[in-house]
Amino acid sequence: MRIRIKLVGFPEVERAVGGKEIDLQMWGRTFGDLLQHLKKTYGELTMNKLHGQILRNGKEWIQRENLTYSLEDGDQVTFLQMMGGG
Amino acid sequence: MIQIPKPIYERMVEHAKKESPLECCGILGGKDHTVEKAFELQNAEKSKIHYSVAPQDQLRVFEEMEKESIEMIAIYHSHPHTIPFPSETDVKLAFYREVVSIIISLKEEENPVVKAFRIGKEAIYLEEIEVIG
Repeated sequence: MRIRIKLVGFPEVERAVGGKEIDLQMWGRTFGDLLQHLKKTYGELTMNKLHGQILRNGKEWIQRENLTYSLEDGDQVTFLQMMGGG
Repeated sequence: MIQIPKPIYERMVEHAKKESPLECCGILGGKDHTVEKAFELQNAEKSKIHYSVAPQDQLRVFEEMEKESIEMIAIYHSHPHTIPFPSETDVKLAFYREVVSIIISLKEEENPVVKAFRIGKEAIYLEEIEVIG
């Protein structure tokens, strides 16, 4: 399955993976499979820095603990650093 | 230092006044240290003391900046009732440390004060704002 990963606001991770976007081919069909794939490819330490919010195709909010969340071929998954303050 | 065209600077202050007594927030996009465009955002918390941006809105602005080949160079928000200095929450949630944080204080209603900062891991640095044009 082809998935496009988009990173917003994670300069350290961007440097480690070589850009703000990654096109990957993975086995499996869930968000959990995607996380495993990313950890195997880029290392657990790097992926643990992606602690922001997650969107599927710019619209649906994926909860990090929802590892069984289904993905489809061609999906874009965006990891987005939170923006806020007081 | 950050350079902000006068019309954008004035619109940012107007945004803060319009949203008061709630906090406003937005993104300034541009190149190097010069702002080219302001993106007003909705404060998802609709609060007088906090702000946050819905990820969908945030992503939309980032995609728009990408299309226009500009980058986020500052995040602005207002302090409707307090001084123009980063609050404890601002420091705690300063995840975009590479960009400037602008605070518009409306503490003195008739005299808004705008200040810019860089919030580092160990210190807060004042950044000069140059209003241009």
